[in-house]
Amino acid sequence: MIALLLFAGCATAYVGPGAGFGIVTSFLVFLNAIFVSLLSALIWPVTMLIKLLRRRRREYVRTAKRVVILGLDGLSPDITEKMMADGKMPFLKKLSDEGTFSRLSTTCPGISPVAWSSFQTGVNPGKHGIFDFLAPDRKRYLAKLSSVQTGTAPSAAGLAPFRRTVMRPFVKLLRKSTPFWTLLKRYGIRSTVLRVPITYPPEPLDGHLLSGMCVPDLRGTQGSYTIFTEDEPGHSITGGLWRRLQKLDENRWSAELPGPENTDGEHAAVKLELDTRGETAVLTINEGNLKLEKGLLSDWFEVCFRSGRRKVRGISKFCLTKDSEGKPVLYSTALHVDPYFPSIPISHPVHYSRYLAGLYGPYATMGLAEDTWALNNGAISEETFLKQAWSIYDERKKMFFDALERTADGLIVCVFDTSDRIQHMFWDNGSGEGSPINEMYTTMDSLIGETAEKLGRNDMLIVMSDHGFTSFHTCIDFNRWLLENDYLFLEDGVETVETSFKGVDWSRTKAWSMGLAGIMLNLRGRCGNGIVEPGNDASTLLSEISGKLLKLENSNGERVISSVYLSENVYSGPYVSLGPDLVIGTERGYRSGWSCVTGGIGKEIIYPNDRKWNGDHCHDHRLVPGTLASNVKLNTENTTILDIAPTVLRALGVAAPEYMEGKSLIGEGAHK
Amino acid sequence: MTNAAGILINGFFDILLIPFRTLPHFWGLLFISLLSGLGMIMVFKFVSNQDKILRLRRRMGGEILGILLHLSSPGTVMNFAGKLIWSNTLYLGYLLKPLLVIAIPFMLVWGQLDARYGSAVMDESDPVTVTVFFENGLPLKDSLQIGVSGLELIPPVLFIDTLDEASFRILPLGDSLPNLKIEGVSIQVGRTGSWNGCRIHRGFDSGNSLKRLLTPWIARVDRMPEGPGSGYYSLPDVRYGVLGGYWSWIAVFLLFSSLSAIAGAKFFKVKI
Repeated sequence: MIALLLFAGCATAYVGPGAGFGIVTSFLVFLNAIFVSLLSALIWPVTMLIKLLRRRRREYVRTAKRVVILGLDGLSPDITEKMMADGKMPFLKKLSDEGTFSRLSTTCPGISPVAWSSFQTGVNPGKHGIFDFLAPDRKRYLAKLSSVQTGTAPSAAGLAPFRRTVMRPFVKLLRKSTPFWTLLKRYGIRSTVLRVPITYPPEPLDGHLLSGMCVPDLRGTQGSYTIFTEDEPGHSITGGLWRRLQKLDENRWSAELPGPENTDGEHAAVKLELDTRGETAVLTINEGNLKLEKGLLSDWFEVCFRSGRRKVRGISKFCLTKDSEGKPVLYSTALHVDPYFPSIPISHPVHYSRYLAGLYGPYATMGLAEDTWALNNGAISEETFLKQAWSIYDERKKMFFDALERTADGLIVCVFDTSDRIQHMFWDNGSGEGSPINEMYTTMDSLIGETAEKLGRNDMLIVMSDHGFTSFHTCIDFNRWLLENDYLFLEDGVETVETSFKGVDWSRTKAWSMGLAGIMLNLRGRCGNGIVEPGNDASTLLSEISGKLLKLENSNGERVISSVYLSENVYSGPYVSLGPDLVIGTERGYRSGWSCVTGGIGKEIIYPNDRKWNGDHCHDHRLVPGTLASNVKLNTENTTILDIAPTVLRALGVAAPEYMEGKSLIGEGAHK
Repeated sequence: MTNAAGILINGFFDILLIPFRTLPHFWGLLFISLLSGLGMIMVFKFVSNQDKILRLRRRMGGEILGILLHLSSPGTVMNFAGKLIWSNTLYLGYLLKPLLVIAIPFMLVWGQLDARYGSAVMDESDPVTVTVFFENGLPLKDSLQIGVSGLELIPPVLFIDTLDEASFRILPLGDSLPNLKIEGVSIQVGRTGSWNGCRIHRGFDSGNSLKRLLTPWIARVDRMPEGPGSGYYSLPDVRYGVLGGYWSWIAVFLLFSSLSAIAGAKFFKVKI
């Protein structure tokens, strides 16, 4: 062979298609790497000059070279304080001893989209317009996502004289006001923002952003898993889809995995084949093979759909188990947008998601990535759910440490959701030794320790959560309560409503509830079939409902509502009217019922929560404050989540804009 | 052994090109180019580790994007450039195995195409210079015996004593296959058949090495003590009219084999 190669003659210049292309492109890559490095070195003085000029705009001397915000969604101060006292969270304890540790008041209500919107803008919900996960469509009495609007709009296509108008899909962020990282751009301060809720679609900034909560899956939902079985389940599946496994022979099955919706309303689908011969089962999709260890969640697997003329790429994980009869049960997570080939914008710049996927492999991109519905419905085991949650944590950690490594100065924000999801699903297990929650808190403490180790002397670390946690053992059906108190009426013959107020008699209804904590009046002029006159009538009605709600008791005579807020008393700003008229604060353990959230009306006002989702924070916001810790001594008097934005700006030498309501927690002085 | 392998390979290509015997040269060349591009990309697919290549390519993509995303930070750019060069080296390492496997069939194809489509056949209006080398020293000028069949020998015969080399010109006559006989050594000159796409000899050699498999344009001759050991003929190169230009067979082969390889890679989802 060597002799042949030596005699290759002309062939040495070209070694065939395939390897030949590889060698040619390798050479180009090598040249490009050198060229771009030189280019970067050449333009560096220019970019530095621009940065210096912009940084001269700063109003203060900065107190930190780099501000690192580690957001741990739902980290409860109750548990944290206890574990710190027990010596189980040594790194947080160290921060507490040397810097700051305090409770952080959350928004009203203490719900992630609301709280994180206030975190990033420094204003109350009346100014950023996010009051809940869902926003009521008051004209049609339907629930819609509060932070994102998707649809189609006319758009010009082609060049003159062939220009024509076509309908193009659009996606719009509904959160108002300005995140503090956008403000930093004016000062030449770069930011890396990772998975902060309510950043989808991504807004431009000086730096990089990867969107978090509310990024949809390929089907356009906030997460719908697929379960494949031979036999149809005897019940409807919330948060998921069922598809039949067609038996091909003793060991082989086929099925269709539904993907994105086409313009004709049908779902594009790919065919999958499951072969259970041998030790490991093999799943075949798009000619690609995935080995499935029975009972174990697979790695990410790429799935490509044809939607019209477009290719839409997604990623999913699979898990194969058996039912009680030994028949296969195949579970597929929601179809996440493939970060390497994103079909919708999930990062700024768009290449940022590709950069991360290239360096660290595929990762979960959907907003609510952990499949809580699948665990709720028993489609996956607790072990599988935990494996999924921790693998998402590992992915996030890699991104976060990448940002820490690459960002020499400026701002880094990263939010980890694992803490929230595990507490939602395992609250009843307690936080004792060996429980998933205990493991989660100690892991988060290690993360804090690893992060602190990577910081320089002039870096500021803020560890924070948007809210705390408590139990959720009982549901309250506010719509049922309104019905039984003659504020809401059903059409004749209707006794219960599954969702979307189907069967409600709006001509007599005065108030309705939608979302996790809100009651709206059926106000004339504002609602589709409004009957309540604005002004005195409305005010009287709200007082009456508030008074009655506060008296609501369980069967033991215990109060279940701790507070009812008039929106005008807790919100201020141009978007107050978008919020509910009353915000209900429930006692620990009580929360708005599952169907009530989307406009359903059940049979009972108070009933047990029978789902695995047994921890929550959608209660009276005073009961679920978040956590704040820092390596810098901060003013901890009456700290609220609105204070974070002004504090970060101040640390980086920037004065908080007047519209921001929070206060800087950094001591005064050092004015330029 | 080498001889038998050579006969097999030559025979294989002769059979492969049967449908193109009466067509212009270009079509046979195009066919082999397309076929070899496709064949080699398939060999590449099955010999290379496609998963590793895909992962590495994506990582390199990430590193390139890393450079672009951090252009204002020369340190980070240098870091990514270094990583990219290292990944590139790894990539070349991944290519080594398919490259070695592909190299042999590739060189065989290269030699066959060179032999069949590289040179023009001898023309009655254009004399060809023949240069022969004598391994055991030049014979005496007057005693050199040159016999021709289907050829006309154009004197004079030049001798270069220092190089043990003799040179003379020949002109083909008619359609018969031309043949030279020098000091008892019978030598086939020019084409080996009367059909398009047959091998065209541009030289001869009495050696018996692996090299012969890669150079089928060299005719094998018997070794005689007094006879010449090797030689070559000055046949003109062929040019092919493609896209308004005059292309060598190499350019035609590279273009069309690459195109078919690209199409094959796309169709068969080969990660390069």
